[in-house]
Amino acid sequence: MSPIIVIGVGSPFGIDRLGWDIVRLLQKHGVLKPLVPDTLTLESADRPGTRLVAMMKGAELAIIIDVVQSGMEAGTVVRLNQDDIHNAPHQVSVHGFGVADVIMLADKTGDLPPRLNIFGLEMGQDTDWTPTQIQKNKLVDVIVNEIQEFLAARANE
Amino acid sequence: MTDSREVHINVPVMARVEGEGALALTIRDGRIDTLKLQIFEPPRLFEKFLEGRDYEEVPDIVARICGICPVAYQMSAVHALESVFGIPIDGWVRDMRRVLYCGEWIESHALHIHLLAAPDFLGFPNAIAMAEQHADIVRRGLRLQALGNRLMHLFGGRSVHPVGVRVGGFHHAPSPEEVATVVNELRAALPEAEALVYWTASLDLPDDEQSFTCVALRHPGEYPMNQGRLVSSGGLDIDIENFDSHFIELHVPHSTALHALLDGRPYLVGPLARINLNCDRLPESVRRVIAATGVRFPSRNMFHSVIARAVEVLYALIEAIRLLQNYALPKRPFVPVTPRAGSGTGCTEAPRGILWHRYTLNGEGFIRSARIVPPTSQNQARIEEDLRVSLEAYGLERNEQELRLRGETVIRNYDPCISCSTHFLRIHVDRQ
Repeated sequence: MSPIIVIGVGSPFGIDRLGWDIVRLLQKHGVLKPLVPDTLTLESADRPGTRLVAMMKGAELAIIIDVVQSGMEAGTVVRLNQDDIHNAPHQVSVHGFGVADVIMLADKTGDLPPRLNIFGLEMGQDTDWTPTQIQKNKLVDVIVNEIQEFLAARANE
Repeated sequence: MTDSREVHINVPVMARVEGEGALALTIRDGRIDTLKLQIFEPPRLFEKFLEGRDYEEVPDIVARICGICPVAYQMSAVHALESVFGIPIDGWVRDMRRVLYCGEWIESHALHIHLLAAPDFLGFPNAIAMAEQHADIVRRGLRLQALGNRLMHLFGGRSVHPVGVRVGGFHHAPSPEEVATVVNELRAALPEAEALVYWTASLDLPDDEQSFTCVALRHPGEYPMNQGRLVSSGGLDIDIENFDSHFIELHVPHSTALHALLDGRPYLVGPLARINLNCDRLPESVRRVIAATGVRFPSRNMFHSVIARAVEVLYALIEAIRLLQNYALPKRPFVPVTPRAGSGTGCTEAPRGILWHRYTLNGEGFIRSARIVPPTSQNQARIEEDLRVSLEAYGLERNEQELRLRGETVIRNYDPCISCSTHFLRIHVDRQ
């Protein structure tokens, strides 16, 4: 198990592909390539529900990538931490628990990694909104930076 | 005394069921006047999507019908298509299909027991609230669910909408090393699965004996998953090809999903029906655990469904270990297929009950017509019947919140999978 896992959450449909697209870009990123697989795991997950808990197990840093709808301008890079998730409106969940539900559940059972961040792009109110390559690249840069900072801090411990 | 209150209850959201529907309940003069499990989710038209498709596409298309039980859809489909092509499926392919199905039962049942049903029986609004006081229960559910997913991933390539199944077998055989690792994990989980059976039997389940007809597959030598005859607690014993001679599907105005009746009456499919009709097909080790719980099958208490699910989790672990412990790579993981024209039927035991498929193909192997009868639509009439009996037995004079919660609990007990796309059940109780 690598200490860092990045999980792109989504489905094949429309803007919901964002998490998968970003993981694909991360897989091609020159800075990250040497870190895989010993230090970094990059995964795409199709509506993982509670499987997220097992996927994050053992990681020191988990990064989840998803599309976000929080009222900001479409295309804004959004960074949420665990506390933000707790303050989010409760999603009524079904067989497939939503990301927020799973994080709250894992928090209650003590199964969250020590560090968890959710990164995404704000989709705004337009369900047909499509991110530009520039917006995607910006999100990729933010995630790469996060990983580098984490590794630097870890090396100094 | 007659209850002449006129009360309206609107519950905008019901969690922990799959799909979009509503329950309309009218109580008049202290009696249930109308009760309708309304399913208004748009038809998903998969049967029409399949028309004109090559037979090779079918397993991947039908896997998309459900994110929880894709294997069931794949299994019923490939059996139906193989019956058209006259392919005998036995040996390695048959065994590993059973293993794959074990994974789906473990994954689906573990999720339902721990995260969907348990909050009802322990008095919590949802699993997140329950996890505060019962983190160990939730963890067990997640562990078992993950183990089921591991099995599905092993042969399906991935656990959600797996892609490893093909007509004639599998696209890929996992290595003995991968299998050995999973077998060790399965063995390690056995004590936990056994404890799960005892735990479900210790829950304070409502005592709600009812009369209902059970329908399941029955096989001469094994607990049913992929094959068997269709049997009922009323004496039915038919080949799956003869489904239409006894079962009818019909439209009702309040549901976009077809209702199904057996000889004109509602019937139950799913784990309780399966175990009621096949308890003698379980291994001795599993039957010993059941006996130690004090619960007896066949059971007329619908709430024993949660125990039946736990028993099937234990059984699926034992069965998967049995089938995998001497695993060896096959020469090839499939039987070659030559398409031909004809019609064929497949019926397997999805986690929620029998899933019946029928396909007609032309000589090139293209689908001319498809028909799929899923378990939840078969259970719809039974759920309505159960709600009526359960709520009346519970006491219609109770307040709306109590009635609503009991109604939700009754519905959730069937683990209904109305669809995988939307997630709301609105309940309207009109008391006059």
